[in-house]
Amino acid sequence: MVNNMLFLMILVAFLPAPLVYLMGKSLGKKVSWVVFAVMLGITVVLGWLIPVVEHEVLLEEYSWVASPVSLTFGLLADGLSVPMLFTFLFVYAGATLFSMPYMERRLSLGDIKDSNAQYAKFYTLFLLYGASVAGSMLATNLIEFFLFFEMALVFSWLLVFLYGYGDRRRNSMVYFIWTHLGGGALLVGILGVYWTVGSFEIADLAHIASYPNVLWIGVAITLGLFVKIGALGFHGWMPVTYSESPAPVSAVLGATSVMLSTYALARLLPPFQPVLQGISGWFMLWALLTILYAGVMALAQKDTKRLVAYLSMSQMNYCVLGIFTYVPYGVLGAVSYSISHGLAIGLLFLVSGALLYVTGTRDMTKMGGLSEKLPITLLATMAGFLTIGGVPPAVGFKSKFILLSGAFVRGFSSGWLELSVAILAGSLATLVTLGYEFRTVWRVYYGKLPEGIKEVARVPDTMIVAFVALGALSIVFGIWPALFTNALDVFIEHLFH
Amino acid sequence: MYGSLWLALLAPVLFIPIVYFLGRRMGKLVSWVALVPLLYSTLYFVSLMGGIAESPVGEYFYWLPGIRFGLYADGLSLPIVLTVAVLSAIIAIYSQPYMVHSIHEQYHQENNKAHATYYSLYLAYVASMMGVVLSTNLFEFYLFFELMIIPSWALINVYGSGEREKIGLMYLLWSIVGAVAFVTGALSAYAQTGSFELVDLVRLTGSPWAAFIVASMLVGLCVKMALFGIHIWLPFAHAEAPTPISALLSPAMIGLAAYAIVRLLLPIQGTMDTWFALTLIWGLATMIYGGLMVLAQTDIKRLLAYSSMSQMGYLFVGIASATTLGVGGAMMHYVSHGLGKAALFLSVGAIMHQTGYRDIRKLGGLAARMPITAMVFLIGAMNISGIPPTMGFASKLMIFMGAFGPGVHEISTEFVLALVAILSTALTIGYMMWTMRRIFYGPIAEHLEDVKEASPLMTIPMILLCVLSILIGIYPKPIIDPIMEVVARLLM
Repeated sequence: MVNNMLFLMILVAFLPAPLVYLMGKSLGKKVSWVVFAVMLGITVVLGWLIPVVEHEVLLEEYSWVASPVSLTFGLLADGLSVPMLFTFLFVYAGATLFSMPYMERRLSLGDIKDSNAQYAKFYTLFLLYGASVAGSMLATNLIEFFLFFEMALVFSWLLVFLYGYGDRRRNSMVYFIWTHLGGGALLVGILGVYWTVGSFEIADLAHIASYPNVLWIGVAITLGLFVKIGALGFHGWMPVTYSESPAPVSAVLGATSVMLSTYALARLLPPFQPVLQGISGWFMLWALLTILYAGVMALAQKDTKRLVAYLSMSQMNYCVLGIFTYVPYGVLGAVSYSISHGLAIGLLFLVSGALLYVTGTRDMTKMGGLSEKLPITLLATMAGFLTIGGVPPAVGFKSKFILLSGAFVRGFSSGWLELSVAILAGSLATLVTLGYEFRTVWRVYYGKLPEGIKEVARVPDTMIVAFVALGALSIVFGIWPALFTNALDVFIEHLFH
Repeated sequence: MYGSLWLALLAPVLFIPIVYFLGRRMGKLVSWVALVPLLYSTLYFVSLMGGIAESPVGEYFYWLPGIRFGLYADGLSLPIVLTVAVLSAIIAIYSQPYMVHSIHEQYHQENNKAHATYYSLYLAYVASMMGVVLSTNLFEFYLFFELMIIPSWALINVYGSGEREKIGLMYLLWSIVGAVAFVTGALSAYAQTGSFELVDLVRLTGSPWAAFIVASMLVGLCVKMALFGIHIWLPFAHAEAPTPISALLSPAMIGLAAYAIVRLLLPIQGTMDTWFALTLIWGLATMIYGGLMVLAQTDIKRLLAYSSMSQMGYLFVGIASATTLGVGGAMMHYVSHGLGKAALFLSVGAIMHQTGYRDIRKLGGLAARMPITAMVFLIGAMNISGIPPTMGFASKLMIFMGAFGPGVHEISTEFVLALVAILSTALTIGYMMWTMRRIFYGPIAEHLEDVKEASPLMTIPMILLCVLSILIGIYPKPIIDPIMEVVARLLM
């Protein structure tokens, strides 16, 4: 194995950015293939690492800052980061592929000057955004994590700002302000950690619970991440940003929200267990309320992308519920569920993009009877819905079941609050999910084909390839979950000894 | 015979893509390809039948952290899974002529893709049913139980008749409501016992949560069984599904819930057995309501659907008795109802296929025109009414002997209820024979003068079903013995 492999990986992700920009100016949309190749290459390496981290942890440290505080720039690949990052970049590569025909259409709408420079800018930002998320999932100290986390926010803000739909300046501002409020809370928590244990290293967090007055630190980190995962009350930015971004951007934004937040919750919060255990039941309740609220909102949507946005908000809060059970199956389920959710939400945003691409509308009331015209898109929608709704054979079924068994264990060992949350999450929330999913499939694909969209364009091949790849991974993980759960289990074992 | 349980379960799954891609070229003939894995599974299960009572077969694989994927065949699960395999193999042959007709009616032209999709979904459906029977832990069981819903929904949704899309959705939603109730109980059971294994459920005995857990799992399973009050979906789904699928849905799938109650819930002492009167009343209500509704039907498929509901009442009465005889009888009745009801659905399908009518008022006097179909219908009817020499006689007898068990020594509520149950079987005989007369006897209508017997591809599967039910009726030992042994152990 190469010694500096993780560092090289980060370099490979960031360094081509100027190249992409320069090449893009002359190549135009073809430069997307460079971004695709980079993402796919790193994904393949990570896929090869999954079985490796079942046995060993890869840690690389480079001296970074010596004073006033000593900081190392570290990169850690273990059972948590590798499967999550692998799936994230897999979705990323799929979204890049999808973006090729999609962005061409987006740029031809007239509000943005269609020129090679636009492609150059878009793909540079797109690459940098993915690279930043990758960096934050490999970071070993909190400053490094926060740096990458903030970089990701800035690049994604630019993507929404430059290429969004509707009032994109206002929307992107809402996104920027909300996420920075969350970032601020996260920073407060990070500084709190430093003042308490005297180090920014994530590894040094392990014994934080033995210090006095650390409850507020745990709460600050949690609330900071709650913005990112769209917990009820902190979700103001989410539906707008998701629905008004170009589909490939929505797809990676959605995957980031769920995967990066769950990653951070699973990485940073377990050491706080002794102090947070007492109030974690309320966080579980918060997650349940979000699931139900967003689920009901999803039932009321007419806009396909708005619907997927609420659906995602609803489902990703299962991960919060799982993490705060503080039992092995709960955390294992939460991480697996975020992996399956990342896959599914990527897929569903791409599907909604494809529907926009071929019908020219996002309004579901204007759609119908598309099953004959778009069979593969229908299958992709079903695969996404089944994964998100936790229906077999997709991977969402297993992870949700594991997550809920964790919740029930916690419920029976804790009290009425936790038990009612577990039971309602297992029953009522599942019904709401399936309710809006089947309502959507019904509306869009069955019934009469409206006059307005009799002439449906063909879905381009690159889009189809992206659908099939994401759907297939969900089914493969679903049938053979040990592919990634073995690695995760090593992490969970270590966490709970 | 060479093979293993996982291969028998996986064979239909592996054939799904093959059937799909071949089907797009071969069209209707792909049914023969789909038959290959089904025959393999059937033959493998048959080869196990000999020594199953002495040596149950179990296979376990690593699956998820802390959970293994197990397949287990013993004296109880083997006859059930064999019934599923036999029915699906026989019905696959029958499907060919039937689906040609129905696909032609729907698309007005040859449509190879429709055949390809049908048989792919068919295999997925059968594999998930076999998975339900063979699974060894709650997680796996629930997985297959949910998995069953999807292909069957798609089959109704795409190939059904009438308002098939609406009915498909209704079927789906009810199934999911049931699944959700079940999973609440299953997860609570895990939280209480710390294990997903089905054999560990018995540890719930004495737990303060046992009643809650059993009740929620029971409700979940009873939605599938369509017991009175939660049966709304059944008459619609079974009447509008394509007939070969009705013949699988109706006896094979919904009866699996009865098997699950026996396997999962009965071993937990102090729950089902203490609610005997209550569950008995529920079973009776289902039996009688279903029976009366049969009498009111004019659509021949809907009629059979209600009769299935009524028969589920019998199964439930047997299980509710919690005696070895009653429960063993219920499991036997799963097999005989499977053979009998499938024969009935197939013969009704043949009638619809040959005459184009499904309204009973438009039929009559068909015995002279379709003698084989009439014979099959009669034997199927005898089977579910419990008339010898069919195996329905043995199974119903056992159910009633079991139901009388707990209350025979005094005139108690239970005794009276058991008596009512026995008397109400007259209802089954009544409605079956009356239907027989309405379809097959009396003067033949003018528009039916030219009707001919169905093709051999339809009649041979039908005859096979009848032969099987009579053979087992005459010599039930190979099935009864292993079932009774396992049931006795479960109830201990």
